[in-house]
Amino acid sequence: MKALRQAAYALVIAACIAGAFLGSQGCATNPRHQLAVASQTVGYSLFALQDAEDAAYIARRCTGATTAACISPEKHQAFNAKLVVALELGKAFNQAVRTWDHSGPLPEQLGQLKAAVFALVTELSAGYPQDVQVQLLATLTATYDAILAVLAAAAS
Amino acid sequence: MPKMTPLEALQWSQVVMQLITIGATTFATIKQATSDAGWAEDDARLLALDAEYDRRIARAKAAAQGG
Repeated sequence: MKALRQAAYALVIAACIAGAFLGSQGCATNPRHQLAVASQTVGYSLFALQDAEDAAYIARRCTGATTAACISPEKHQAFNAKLVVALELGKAFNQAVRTWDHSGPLPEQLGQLKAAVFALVTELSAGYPQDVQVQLLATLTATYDAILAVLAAAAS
Repeated sequence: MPKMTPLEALQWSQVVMQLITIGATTFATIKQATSDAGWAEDDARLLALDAEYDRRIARAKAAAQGG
């Protein structure tokens, strides 16, 4: 009877050790997965920004003189020129995440992407009707927040 | 109930050790399979995102050139 009780204790202890190991190792979030999620958040929010700007341009394109209520073709072109830079850096970051070894440093493209997204904020700060500007900046905030979240997680 | 003999105690301890070994092996197998599946899933999504980036970059370049 005593031996049976000891065997039962041994099983309980083994289950506790296995449970603790499962909790600390098996269920822990993979750092690469975190970066993969961040890359997708950055990518799809940049795409949402592109779609929003395109839709706004189609709806509010200046047909005559440029006014505060319309978007000029020049402004649309200037925005897209900066968007190309951000998209290319986003793509480079995405490719770096695919090959990233989580023991290595964070892909350096992320810092450059942050600067490119900030350049988009500057581009959006003038030349757009105010309601369009507010909408585009709100969309861009999601991109910026995703980048900052990754950088903050890496720094901590 | 008769007292357990040293031989029986040894057999019990062997059973417990075997159970722990089986548990640890099963856990390691499941963990490896889950990790591999998660890695492949992330990879597929990142690959799809890469292709979408190409389409988006082409579109933005055309717009930047007045297209």
